[in-house]
Amino acid sequence: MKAGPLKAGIAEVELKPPLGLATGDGAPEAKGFLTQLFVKALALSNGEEEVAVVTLDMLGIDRTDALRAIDLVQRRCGIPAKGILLVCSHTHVAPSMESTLHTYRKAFHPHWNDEAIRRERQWVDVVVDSIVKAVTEAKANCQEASIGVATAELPWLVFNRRRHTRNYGVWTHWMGIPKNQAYKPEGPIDPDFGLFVVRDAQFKTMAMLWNFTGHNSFNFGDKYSADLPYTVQAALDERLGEHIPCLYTPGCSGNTNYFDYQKPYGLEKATDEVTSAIIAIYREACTLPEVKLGSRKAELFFAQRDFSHYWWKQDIETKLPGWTDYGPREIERFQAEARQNETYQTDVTVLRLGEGALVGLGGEMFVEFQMMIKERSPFKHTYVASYTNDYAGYVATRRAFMGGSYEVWPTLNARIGREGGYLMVDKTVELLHELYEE
Amino acid sequence: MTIQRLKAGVAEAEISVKAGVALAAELNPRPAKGARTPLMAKALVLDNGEETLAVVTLDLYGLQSEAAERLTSAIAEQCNLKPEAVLLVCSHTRGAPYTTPVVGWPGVHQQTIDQVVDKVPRVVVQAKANLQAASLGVGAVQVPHLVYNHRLVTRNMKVISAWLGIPKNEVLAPEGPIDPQFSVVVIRDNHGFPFCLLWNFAADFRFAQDDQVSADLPYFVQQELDARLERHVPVLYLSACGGNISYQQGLESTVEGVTSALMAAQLETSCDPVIRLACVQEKMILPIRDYSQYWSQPEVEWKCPQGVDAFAREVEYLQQEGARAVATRVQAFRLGPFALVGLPGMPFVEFALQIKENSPARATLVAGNVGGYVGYVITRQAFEDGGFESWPARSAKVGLGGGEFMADSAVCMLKALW
Repeated sequence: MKAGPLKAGIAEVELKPPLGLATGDGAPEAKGFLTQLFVKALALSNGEEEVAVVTLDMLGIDRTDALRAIDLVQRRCGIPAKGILLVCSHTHVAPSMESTLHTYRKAFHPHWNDEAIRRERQWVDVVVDSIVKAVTEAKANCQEASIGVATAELPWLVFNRRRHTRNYGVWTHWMGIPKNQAYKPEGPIDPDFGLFVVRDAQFKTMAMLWNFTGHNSFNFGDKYSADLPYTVQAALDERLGEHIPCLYTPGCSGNTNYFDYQKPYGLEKATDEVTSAIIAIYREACTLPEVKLGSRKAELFFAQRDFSHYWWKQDIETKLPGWTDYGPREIERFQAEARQNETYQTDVTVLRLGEGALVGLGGEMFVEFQMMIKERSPFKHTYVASYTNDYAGYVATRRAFMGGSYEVWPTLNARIGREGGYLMVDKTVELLHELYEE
Repeated sequence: MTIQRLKAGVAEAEISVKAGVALAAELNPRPAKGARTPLMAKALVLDNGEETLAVVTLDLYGLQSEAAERLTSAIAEQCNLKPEAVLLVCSHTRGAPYTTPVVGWPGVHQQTIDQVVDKVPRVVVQAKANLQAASLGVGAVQVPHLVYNHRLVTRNMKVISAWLGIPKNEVLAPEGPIDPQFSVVVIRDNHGFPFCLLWNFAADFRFAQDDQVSADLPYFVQQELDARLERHVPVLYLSACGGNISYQQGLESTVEGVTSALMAAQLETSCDPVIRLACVQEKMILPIRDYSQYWSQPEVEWKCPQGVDAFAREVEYLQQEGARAVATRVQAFRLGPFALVGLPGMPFVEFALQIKENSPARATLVAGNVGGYVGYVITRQAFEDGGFESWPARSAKVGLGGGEFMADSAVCMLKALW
């Protein structure tokens, strides 16, 4: 692999979903907008390699749809499939796109029917087209550029939401932990805030990409919202007095949340802190005009959780009784699917962006996994984008399976077994080394 | 006062019980119909002119705290010893009466307790009277093949203790480690022959589960050792931190493995006739488990249905007692360059490993079931993982963090002794 002169292009395409679609984890039917929703694409090439990072203001995207979009991008733009990351922001109030969540919708949305599914599929087609459009425009916009990484430490922004209790094992914060029970978090947070900075030939910042690890879940109502990526972009534009496209890639946030995310001021507070961090560090980035670019992708076959029995009945009934009837439905679905395929397939994708690496993983990964990847990566800067190229559900640690609670229940699309995350880490590290040593 | 040449004395006496008395075991009380072996009290007294220490081993499941206090006081008084210089160690045999509350049985056999408190001090007096010139050393061998950590992590049921029966296709890994180190304190006479041995190995034996009174493993090891030495050398068993450790094989194979380890270690052990002796103890108030509700009921129903009612009663007993904490004590002896730590209850092996790792001594033995019985002392991890040892009972009282505190304290005590 040789370093070559970097060219970068950026594009933003607004998504305009019709009202009435179910939101990812909010209302059965959306009735308005709090913010716009966007697809943003950053295309990079160095004469030898091409890669593209696409961010979506969506909860997640099914692997089949992601592969369809990636294939279209490859055919129309010539960017190899292994070099394309579709990263969802995991906003909980964008239109739902996951067929893997239909059992959940049927359980909780009384009007969820074939017509709703048809409308959802239509919307997915719009998103796929918008992805292709955004990458095509970004590639067309390519110009001489340089790229680098700046970092900050923001431990005061987020917390590990899984808490050990005296008598119930682990209990996830948002489910309401009984009083006098919690005594420590189950795991860590990752305070590392990463910012890829892209400058044009005149050294002006033309795009940024930020990565931080906390659930982008602030709004849960019936209005569409991109939440944090939008509010950060708006605050940034206002403070800088100009618009610099800023792409958001969420880290492995399966078990971390922003402080006060459930409070009315939670989003504002997080926005202020993230924006301040970006402005504090973006000028500090050292960028390189001649860089190595590269990509690797691996498909993996994951053992699934044990669907042979409703093992988590007691845990669900105790901690989230509203899911008592829903839990068995997912077990039936997973059992039926497992009769067709015992494993779950998803991908690990790794990009080299000059001196830094950006990893794309498909699930709601626990933060421990990205910390393992960072620890073992040969790159000076490594960041992990979760919710990428698939919505594989929660990928939890071995310890979490002992502690129990929401993220390890076989519900929603959470199905990857206890060893899955470690396999992803090992494969990711293997690919990172390949890219680094090439 | 200068250190004089070491003197050691040993004595033994039966503390056997009559037929008809209920024999102790978790969820498995049964009346004794006879005796397979005698129950013994054994005492070793060490004296170097500066300090006198006594180690007393009892073939009992455990001693309730009040009884342990009475017995310690009686020994101290009759032998002119400091209370902290008396280390009482119960073997945890299931072939002896209920001398401490255990899940599945309402009370204790007061007659046995009174007999022990009356008789055992005289054994220590006799040991002191038997003092003779001696030398002391500690040897060790590694026997990982003898034991396993019986708390097994399963795919869907958290941790289950192996002896409860684990569903098929479930086991992933043991929850914790074992301690393969088998330690032997060797006391030699003026001619270099061993005249007393103490062995310490982290495992809980439970071979005696029938209707016969039995000292179980310690007795058969003594018998086998005597046969191999072709004379009787009193062997004291220092029950170790085996709350989560069981023997791999049956009684016969285990006796063979343990005796061979004992013989190998003692044959390799050099001894010192002039050693420093010292002791220290620390009283501590440990957290008690949350007995405000029958929190563990769903788990007990799932993993140990035969114990649902018994554990419910345990919660009621604990509520009636209304204790706010567990008062206990940790002891430590310095035996020259070696250390002997005494922890109460049935601590998990992790605590022994932690103490050994951080001890300033050349070698450290950690005895469990010392003094008043407080039941299982488990790790923070074990509280999270659940399982038999985590369910509150009168024989499982010490709460979250108690074991870690004991282990930390023991290390501090050892450092103070060095």
